[in-house]
Amino acid sequence: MSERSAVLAVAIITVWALPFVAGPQSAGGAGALPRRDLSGVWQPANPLDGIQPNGARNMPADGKHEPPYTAFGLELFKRNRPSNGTTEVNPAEENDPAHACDPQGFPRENLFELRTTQIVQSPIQTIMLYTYGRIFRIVWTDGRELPKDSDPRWFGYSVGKWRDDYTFVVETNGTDARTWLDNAGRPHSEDMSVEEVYHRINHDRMELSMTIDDPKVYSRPWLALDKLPMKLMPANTDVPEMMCSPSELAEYNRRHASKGGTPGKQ
Amino acid sequence: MKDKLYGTFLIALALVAAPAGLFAHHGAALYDTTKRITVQAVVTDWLWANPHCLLEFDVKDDKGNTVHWNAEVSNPQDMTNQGWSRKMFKPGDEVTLTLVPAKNGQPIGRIVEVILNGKKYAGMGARPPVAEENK
Repeated sequence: MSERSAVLAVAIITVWALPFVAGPQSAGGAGALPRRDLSGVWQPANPLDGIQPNGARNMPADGKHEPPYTAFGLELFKRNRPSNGTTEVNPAEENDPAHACDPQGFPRENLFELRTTQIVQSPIQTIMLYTYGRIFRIVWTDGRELPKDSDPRWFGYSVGKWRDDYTFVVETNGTDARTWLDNAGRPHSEDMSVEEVYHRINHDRMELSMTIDDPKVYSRPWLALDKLPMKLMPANTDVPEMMCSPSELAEYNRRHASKGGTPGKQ
Repeated sequence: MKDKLYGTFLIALALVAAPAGLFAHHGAALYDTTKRITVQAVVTDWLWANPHCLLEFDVKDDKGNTVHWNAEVSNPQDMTNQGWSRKMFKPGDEVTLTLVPAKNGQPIGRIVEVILNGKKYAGMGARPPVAEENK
């Protein structure tokens, strides 16, 4: 092993070992409230709150909530055929890219099937390890700025800063406009910026808020998550996998969803 | 024996309110959520997979004909949390199923509850346990 490889290996092991030697690991106990530290395994305090089947938790497509679409945004929304929410169609007729196993991207990773999530911190990164899709995100905390006019990515580009000792703010841009914001088919443009606020309120709890700002699609910023309660899990909690498998999806459609269409249309 | 295995097709069509706690990767557009039916059935296959697990089963209709059905529940992770498992059904198992039927009359549905070997299991019409919520 070259010296460079050895250094890299030590660096990787150090990053992954950090939560086990320095992080908050006594879920269920009071414990001291750690400063500038979110490391550990978290999940929505009420598991149902993270699933968000009908769209963003604080903007569900239920006939009572509607994000402030621009004319262009509304046009984009009408092109989407979700299988959930007020405009739902049969699963076999939907055009949800994530339900066809495209990456659901960001911010949808927080707005659909948000489940057990491990947070790993190093001095220059905060890494999110998600259940759905077994996806990871890297939030840079080395002081860099968000890129300008970068090529879009499914999960965008993220930087984070501590607003105070217990409030971590993440800014994201450069997301891919092919993704939907949520399970109800809300659209976005490549110009969207997203702010996440992780506020640790005690040793075992934090709250996640998220604001969408996309002037092309929405006339004003809107709150998709408002203080979603997250609880710290025991350190040995395994982040499970939940995958969209094309072959499993095809089998589901063949056996089940394809039989549910309007009579005469199958 | 075979007739006994297939049991009787029970039409217990009831107009009831849609289950309040439905959660799903896909919505309920396929289904008439104002209705439920209860059938006695014989399992032919159990698919433990995303996005939804599927139970395949045979039911005898009121004319004695065997009708093949399949019905879905949520994904493996959710169903594990509700006490279901990959190996809980095997072909030949006799079950009593309460289903939300399809709007178009096809023999597909969403499982609200299944009774297997005398034990009831909640399907998609029930909320998963949230006992940990406030710990």
